[in-house]
Amino acid sequence: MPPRDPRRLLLASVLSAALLTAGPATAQGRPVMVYGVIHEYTLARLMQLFERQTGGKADFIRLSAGEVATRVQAERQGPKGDVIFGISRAIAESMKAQGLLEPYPSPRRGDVPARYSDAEAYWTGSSLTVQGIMVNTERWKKELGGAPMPKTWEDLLDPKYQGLIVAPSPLSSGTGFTFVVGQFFRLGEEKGWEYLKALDRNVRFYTPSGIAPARMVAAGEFLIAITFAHDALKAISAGYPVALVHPPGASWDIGSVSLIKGGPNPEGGKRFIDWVLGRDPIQLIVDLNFEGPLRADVSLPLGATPLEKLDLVDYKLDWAAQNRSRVLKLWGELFKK
Amino acid sequence: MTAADTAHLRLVGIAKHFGATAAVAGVSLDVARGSLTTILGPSGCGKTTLLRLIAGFLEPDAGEIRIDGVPQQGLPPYRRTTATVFQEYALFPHLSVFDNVAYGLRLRRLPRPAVAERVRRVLGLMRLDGLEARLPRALSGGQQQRVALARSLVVEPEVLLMDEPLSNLDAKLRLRVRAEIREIQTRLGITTVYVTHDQEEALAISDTIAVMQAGRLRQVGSPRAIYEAPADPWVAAFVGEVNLLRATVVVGSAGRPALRLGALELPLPPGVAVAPDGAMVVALRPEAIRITAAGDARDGPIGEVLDATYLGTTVRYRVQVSGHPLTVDDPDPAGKALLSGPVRLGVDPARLRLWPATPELLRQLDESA
Amino acid sequence: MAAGLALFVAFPIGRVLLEPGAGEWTRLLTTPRYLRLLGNTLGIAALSTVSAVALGFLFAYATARPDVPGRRLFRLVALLPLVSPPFVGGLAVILLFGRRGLVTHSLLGLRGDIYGWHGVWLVQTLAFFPIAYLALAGVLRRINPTLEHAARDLGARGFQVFRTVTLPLALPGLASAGLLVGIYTLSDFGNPMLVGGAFKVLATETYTQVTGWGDLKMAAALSAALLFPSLALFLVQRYWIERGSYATITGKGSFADPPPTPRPVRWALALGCGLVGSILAATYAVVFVGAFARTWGVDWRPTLVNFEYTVFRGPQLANSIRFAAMAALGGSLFAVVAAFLIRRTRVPGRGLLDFAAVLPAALPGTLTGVAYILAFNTPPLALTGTAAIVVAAMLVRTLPVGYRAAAAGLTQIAPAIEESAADLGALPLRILREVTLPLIRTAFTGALVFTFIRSMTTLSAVVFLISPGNVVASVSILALAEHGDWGQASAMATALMTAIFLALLIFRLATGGRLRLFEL
Repeated sequence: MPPRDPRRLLLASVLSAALLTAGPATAQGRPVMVYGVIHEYTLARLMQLFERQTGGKADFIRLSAGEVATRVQAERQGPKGDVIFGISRAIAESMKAQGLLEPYPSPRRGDVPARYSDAEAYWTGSSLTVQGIMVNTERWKKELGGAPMPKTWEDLLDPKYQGLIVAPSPLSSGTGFTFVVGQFFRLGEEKGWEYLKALDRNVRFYTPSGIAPARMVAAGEFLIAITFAHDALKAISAGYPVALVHPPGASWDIGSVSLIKGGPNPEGGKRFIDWVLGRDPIQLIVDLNFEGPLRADVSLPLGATPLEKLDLVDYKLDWAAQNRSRVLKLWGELFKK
Repeated sequence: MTAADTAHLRLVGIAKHFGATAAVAGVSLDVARGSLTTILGPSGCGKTTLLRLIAGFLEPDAGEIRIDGVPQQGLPPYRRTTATVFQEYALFPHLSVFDNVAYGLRLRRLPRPAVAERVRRVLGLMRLDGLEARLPRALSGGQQQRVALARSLVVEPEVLLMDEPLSNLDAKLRLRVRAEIREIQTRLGITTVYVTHDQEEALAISDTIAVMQAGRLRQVGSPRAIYEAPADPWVAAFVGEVNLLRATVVVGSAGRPALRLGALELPLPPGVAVAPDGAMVVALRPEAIRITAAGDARDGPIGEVLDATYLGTTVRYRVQVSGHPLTVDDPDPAGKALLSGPVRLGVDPARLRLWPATPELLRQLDESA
Repeated sequence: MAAGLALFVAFPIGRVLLEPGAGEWTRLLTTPRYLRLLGNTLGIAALSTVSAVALGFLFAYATARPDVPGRRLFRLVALLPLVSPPFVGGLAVILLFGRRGLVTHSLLGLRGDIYGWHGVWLVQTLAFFPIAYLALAGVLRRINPTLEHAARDLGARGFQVFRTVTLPLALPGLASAGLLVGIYTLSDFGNPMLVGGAFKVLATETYTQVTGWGDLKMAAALSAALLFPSLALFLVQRYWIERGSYATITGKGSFADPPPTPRPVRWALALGCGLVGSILAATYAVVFVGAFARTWGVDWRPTLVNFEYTVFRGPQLANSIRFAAMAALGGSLFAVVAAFLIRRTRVPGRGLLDFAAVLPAALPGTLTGVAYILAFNTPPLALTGTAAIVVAAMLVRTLPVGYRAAAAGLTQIAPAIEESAADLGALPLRILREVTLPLIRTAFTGALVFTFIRSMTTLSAVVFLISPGNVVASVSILALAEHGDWGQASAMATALMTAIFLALLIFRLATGGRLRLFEL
């Protein structure tokens, strides 16, 4: 071999090192593939705990709920994932309807009240989260002084809040849809639309993402957010000057776990589901993600209101699923922000 | 009339430095009205810098530039009455031939018909009629060159500046365009400063040649004077082919001062300055040496032909004479066999150029050898 | 070569166009909302394109003039947005200039509102002007400086030179840059999503159709709707503007530099670039500071806690580097060979291949992602879930840049050089290796670096293609930012950008400083 230019050697070694390091992960035992929709950090910790407690191996990717649905749908000829974790009921139901899920009645199902899981065991509830009103207290004090904070959904219609409210758009976020149908379940559809139209006058705009309103109110960009409680609680614990109000007639959602039909590692997937419905994993999720536990033996997240003290709407899953396209189409025509 | 009156463009003590290097180091030059003056020099001699100083692209560090007696220092190029033809023509690629030529006139806010009239006239002059709508890239090299000239002429500059305008053309075309430039320049009588490194081009086209080297003018004169009476060995060597030799002034056989060139003794031409020790430098053009077969002539030194090159109009010999190679041209080779072996050389003393051998000259001589 | 392009460019596009059913197409055409979004999309794309190109021209013009103070610095600054992952710039702008932004609120006490079309305008302008800058810098550099001297010589003063020579010569470049930026803004979903507020565009809708509801068919239909204006711009750029370019290769010019810039103009240029540069520098400072602050806006005490997660997810960063390096190497090689075959041989169907090699530039990232899942999930080419599909997507998305660079490099090499080599009996591949390749090495390294950086930060297509074990850092940054975990997102973005700079530094050392960044 002719003498090489040392710079070339350096280049070659750098490139080959880049190409060779961490080749395809070949773990002992097949890892479980988890598609998770909750916070990435929480998922990472969850997988760590799984490996420590069971000795099994679990990999995950964090995607938004819709991305999970899209992927599973696109991969239907050759699924790559085993388990979906943290997905909302609406999406779980639509995936079930498309035949993308495999029913799995985990022995742990009994730990969770039956009404929070699918009767046919296509999905099992792991956590519950309610919707509420989040207020930036610092700006409240400065701009509205001693005025009382809004206590009910109707309080949000006060004209003095004009342009101060941000809400999620149902067209692109499950959070937004949960809120919209929640108003229908609270008031009936006709009055529900009237409420939404009245509210629209105060809403600055509807965000594409369900998390965005909480983020914006935490930063003080807006005064009031319509949000899931866990996003508000998380901001409170991070030290942001915000408060969470639970108005009566709150909509709610379930974070669920499902087995993907025809996944590469069904046995591992079932093992993961059995494990993740247990006390320690749920406690971890509650602690890191501030969602409400469905297990009695898990303590509440910091600052959360116990389930029995909340006034929740009677969420009719079937109705929501059947009327989704119609509601979204109408909403899209009525509201332009 | 004095020189000052006839000088259209006058440069006095022009100097320009770039950092520590002096690109132009004190140049004075008068350019007569209507003449074509060439600045001739090797690359890097400062000739292009000098041209840019005249055009106003650069400002001199010292000295004065006058056109028609009007000082030009401090005037930006657009306010000077000069126009430049660039080496690569610098035609505006987005404008048609017509618009390129009209460019300068439009900036002068001439009325539309006047612009059209003048552009057509100059395009006709340059034999570019019919090409008005073309873009420069659709023209041949010679045509581009003529458009560039037309664009400069149309604004009727006091002084036309040309920067190596033929260097992008092939050899054949170069001769033709050179003749055209000269023809138009004479016809219009436009004062022109022409920069080139090509001595043949300079000889062919100029009224006056200013030979420039290392930022200074070494000689200014007519082409004939530059070629036949070079001011110093450097000029002699730069313009045309020359044999530079050392010689000594001795007392000749007739008791008169004579010049000894190796084995050859020549009468010393009158009026030549002689160095105290008699050491001289001689410049001898190849065509000033007669060459004949050794048997044909009686006088003159004997040399040995090293090689011969047939060039059509001449044969160029390299001849070894008392240890020195000499270049000798036979100007009329038609029908003659090439010489070889011993030859006899003859020199016309009138065509010798002589300088006292100063140390500087001798150094130059060694360098050129 | 042709098979590769057919498989990774043509096939996925065809596949995605077949996905929506009649119902989705009808919905697309009959829903007034979508028509409104289309209007918004075209409007903001036009606005952002004009301003981004203007800004890009400002930078390109200023850095092309040797007497503008700070030009080397501006050259670097203009490229900063290319090195940052998407979202990060938009996020930083909110943090700085938003309703509670450090500058607008805390410093100046303004009560402005960045959410809306004007916010999108600002952010897109800052995000995309480097693309215009890159395109225009090349164009301005190729203008023979002697032309400006010639104009002055013929009587043009100050602004007249600019108006009659420089600007008209740059015009094809401006149009070309505009169309390129137009394609980027059309398919930009991240910035409108972050700062659009009530102002919605089609790209965001496409993305959120997938992220929110997993409606692949509707997303495919929407992205197809986006494809058509992009494709139109692309075709105009390709077959109309490029034909009219004055890119003249004149060889040696008389003047190395243009005439001196008048002092006020010089300083105005420096001031303009400096102002924009400071804004950009501030956005990066925000990311950096955010990475080391406990809670953004609340608790400014320095901490390393945010980096804990970066270390924990270290393999993602390694993945980013590994995949980007593979895509860059493979892509540049592919680009050079393709450019050679297409521009310098008589392979049948060259025109079509040429088109396919630059077509990915017109494809919105979301569309590419969706198309790749649809196309490569089943045999014969079941690639989903592998690293290969991520690398393939990175490679194809950056191919047009590398290919253009290589083709431009080839154009500057006189065919005579290659022909003389062929005369001496060299075979085409040998000519490529021994004659052409060394000559276009600059273009090649430029393409390599560009592909690497873009692949490190790419998001919109890759987000659909990652699988467990093959996650890349930019996806994590998006997830963290979306949840409002600015500290962790900033930490990871800082790490990613540091990795890019380190890689560039090593590359530069390894190539002995011959590497000329972005000489595209």
